[in-house]
Amino acid sequence: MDIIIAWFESSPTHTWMVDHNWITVVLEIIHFFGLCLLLGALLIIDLRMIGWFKSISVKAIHSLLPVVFIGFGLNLMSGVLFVFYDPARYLINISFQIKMVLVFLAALNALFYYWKIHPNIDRWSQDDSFPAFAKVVAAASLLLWYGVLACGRFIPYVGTG
Amino acid sequence: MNIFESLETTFIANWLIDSLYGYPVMLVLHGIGMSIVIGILFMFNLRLMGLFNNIELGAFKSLLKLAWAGFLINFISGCILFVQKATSFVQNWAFLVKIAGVVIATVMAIIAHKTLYQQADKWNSENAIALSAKILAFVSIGLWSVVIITGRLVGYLEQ
Repeated sequence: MDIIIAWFESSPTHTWMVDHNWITVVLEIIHFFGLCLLLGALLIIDLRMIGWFKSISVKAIHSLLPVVFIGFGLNLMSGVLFVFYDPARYLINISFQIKMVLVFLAALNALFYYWKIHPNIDRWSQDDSFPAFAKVVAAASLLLWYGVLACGRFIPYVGTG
Repeated sequence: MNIFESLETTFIANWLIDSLYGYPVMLVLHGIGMSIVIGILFMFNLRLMGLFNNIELGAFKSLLKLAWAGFLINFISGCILFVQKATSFVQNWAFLVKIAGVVIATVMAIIAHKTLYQQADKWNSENAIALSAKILAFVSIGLWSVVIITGRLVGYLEQ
């Protein structure tokens, strides 16, 4: 872990951010915009998959997917830069570590969705015959991402190491 | 003792100060509520401005109800977060701008929600949304953005 922290701290990105530390305030604001886009759009899509909002077609609701990706992109970019700025604070923080595990699990869940559910959406939408595992994947997605949000907010409030 | 000082002595304020995780739990709830209310209102306003055209406008009638649930979460968690530092917050310009933004943007969202009930079918069938609605949608996105930005700044300006 010390080697990884030292690598981040010796990077030009780290030096630049420390010299311009107002950038972290801007990045935090961006991280919150990304959060709203990612979780806002994901909530609607996943709730539709679970069975809410039946008046909206599943296909139409998926036009919100780019909002999820833009939100994720903003938060990946700002999140990586937070680690560059203060690696010793984040990498050894238990709440940050759990957050990264949850992001990883959410990514696996999304991959599973992409392979097993997405190709069948047109067929299942016609008579709204989504199998139970599709609803489980949608519910897992929401739980994982709200867990990510909770762990992120807890980073300043838990012990490190 | 003024009203803000007395708020800081209420049992809610005491509970928040004494409990180990009360404060971050309220912050988590405030974050979840934010993603619901601002996330949905962003998408609704973008829809009014012309994006996501294959989602029927009428669909937002039920989505906006969910947004109001998010608003309620944030109203309650926001009040609880407020009481324990009331005197500090009312002197914090970022907090005051944020609350002004919330009030104006909420009134606009209520009007938009009502208008949606009257106009959704007409706008949808003609595939034409009034220019005034598009402008208000743009302003609404701007106001909620101000709320996010000043909300983040509140913590930096705490005394």
